[in-house]
Amino acid sequence: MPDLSSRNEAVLHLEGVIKRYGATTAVGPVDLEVGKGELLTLLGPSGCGKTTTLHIIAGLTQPTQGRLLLAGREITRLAPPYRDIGLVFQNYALFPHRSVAQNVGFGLRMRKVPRHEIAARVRRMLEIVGLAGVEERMPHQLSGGQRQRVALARALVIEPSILLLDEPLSNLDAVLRKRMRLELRDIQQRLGITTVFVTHDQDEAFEMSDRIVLMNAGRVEQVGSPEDLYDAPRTRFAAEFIGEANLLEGTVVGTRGDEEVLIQIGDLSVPALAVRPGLAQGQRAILMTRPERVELTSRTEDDGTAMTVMKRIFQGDRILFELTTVGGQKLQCSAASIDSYRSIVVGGKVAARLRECRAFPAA
Amino acid sequence: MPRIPGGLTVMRSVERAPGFATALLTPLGLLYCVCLLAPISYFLAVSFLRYSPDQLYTSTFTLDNYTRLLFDLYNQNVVLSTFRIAATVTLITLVLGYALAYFLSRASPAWRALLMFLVIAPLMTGVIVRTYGWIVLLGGDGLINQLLLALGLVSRPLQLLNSEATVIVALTHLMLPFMTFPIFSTLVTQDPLLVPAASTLGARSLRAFFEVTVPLSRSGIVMGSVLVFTLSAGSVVTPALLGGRTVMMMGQMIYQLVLSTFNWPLASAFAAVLVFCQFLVVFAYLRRARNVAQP
Repeated sequence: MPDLSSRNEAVLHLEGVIKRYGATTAVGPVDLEVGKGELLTLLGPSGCGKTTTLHIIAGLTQPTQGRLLLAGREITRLAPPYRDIGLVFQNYALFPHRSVAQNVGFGLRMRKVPRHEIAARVRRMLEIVGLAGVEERMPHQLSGGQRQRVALARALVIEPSILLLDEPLSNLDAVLRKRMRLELRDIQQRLGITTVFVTHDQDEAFEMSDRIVLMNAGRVEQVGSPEDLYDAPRTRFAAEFIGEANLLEGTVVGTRGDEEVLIQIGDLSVPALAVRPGLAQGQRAILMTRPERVELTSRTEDDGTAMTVMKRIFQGDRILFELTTVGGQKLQCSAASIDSYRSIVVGGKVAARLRECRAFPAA
Repeated sequence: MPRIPGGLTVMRSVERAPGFATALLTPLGLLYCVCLLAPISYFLAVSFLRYSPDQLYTSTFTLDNYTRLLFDLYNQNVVLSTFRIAATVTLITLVLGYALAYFLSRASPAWRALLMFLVIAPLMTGVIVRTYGWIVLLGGDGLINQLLLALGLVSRPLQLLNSEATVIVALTHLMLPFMTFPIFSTLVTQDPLLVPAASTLGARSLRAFFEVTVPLSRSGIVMGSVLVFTLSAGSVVTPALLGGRTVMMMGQMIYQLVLSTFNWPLASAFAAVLVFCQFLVVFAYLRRARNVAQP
């Protein structure tokens, strides 16, 4: 992971960027820094403003407010041709009347690079993206995956300060999408190019990103490494959007320091880490834990804290259980497919241990 | 699932059925033979016959009509001005029509509907009505002259009618929809992200326009130009009413030769040259369009 400790390393700065359409705020305020060589992902549901943010960076949309700096230069009011960016569109936007080589060489031609040098650089870039030998084909003669690579080569060959990817994998079939994720990440790391990647797919975000910016309703919900976002979501939205989450409502019955709290849910009292300071004794709170962090043990005697298994879904390598707590709230558990779990059946009584829990104030 | 293969089978068998294409095309073919090929063959034949003042033509073979057409200064001038006017009108409508089509393709749906109506509206009135409209506007005591006189800008009415320029202006107005719509249809189907893509790659607006937008609308440009050129070259009413004695195009010439002078052989020669040149233009254009054909 690139070192972000030094602020001078940041290639792209967004400062208080806001985009309003009439009275509605589509984006912002967004403050971001993208470090040199970093792959930063803008993740969020459709309509969260991630593509608008990317278009603001590219200069295709003007921000209503705020400042953008790219490689130390203010670009806020600069038109796209002067920005030094490479953008890959969701539909690739290849020029249908130009061959692969002409598509890839377009940016170099606009930069008045000599012809023989264009040919050489196009060939080299097509090799990097794994497309050598298709220079003379037309875009309509290529498969979806090949078009995607051409679009990538076209954006990379101009050696931009930053590469912008707008859901580049969403038009590919599932198998190809998985392969291209790893390949895209590999190319990005090999070239060491600073990248902003937009996706609504959290698996893509997890596998490819150095850092993820989770966006919701135009705002930045949380910024962090994939692990941070998974382990320590700071809001209910973050917990629900990323991965599966158990969200149980209870009462704070004990606190220690700013972080540690004890939450009572029915007859169960569970220790948790508060995601932000200020959870007080007696306050209603939401307890969050991931299904694979719920441990079950079969119970023969019922001491009142036992839960009932409502559903058991066998998935091969995992078994998914749905339990009902004494308070009537649902709890999911995803366990490895091993004997001690296989023996748990629907209707059985189990004791659950909730590990690595987080707590938010209940809205 | 079973419905789709079944459907395909039906489709294929229909396509393959002998005489299917024939059945579809026969009525049109008959119409073309009777209404187009027959008269064309007739005037082609007549154009090689000798003119006779009392019986329209005699059955003597001659090339006189063509030599008169090509070497007589007056006739030469008719041919040249016809194609000069047609080419000028094509060029002007191309520029105006492209601008209009571009605007239409990017307008909001409400604007687009209104503007489309305005572009089509002139087609709803006949050519004669429209041409008289121009006379009302441009005549000696027409609207424009009255306005100029009232404002004291001129002391005598200007001669606005009866010039080649007037014919060109009126034809441009007449032909604009034929240029606009083919271009519009190629512009509106273009991926709207291609120009932004070009701009992120370093192409400024004008460059992106000529590198991406124009080449991708080439088929519309070709279609519109062919339509406008052939229609303008064949126009009769507009030059006759607005050009006065100063403008004589081939269409008028043929009209006069057929109905006033009764020189059918020369009229036929004019018609043959006109149709031949129009074919030539269409052929050249379409050939060029095919050479740069896009998927």
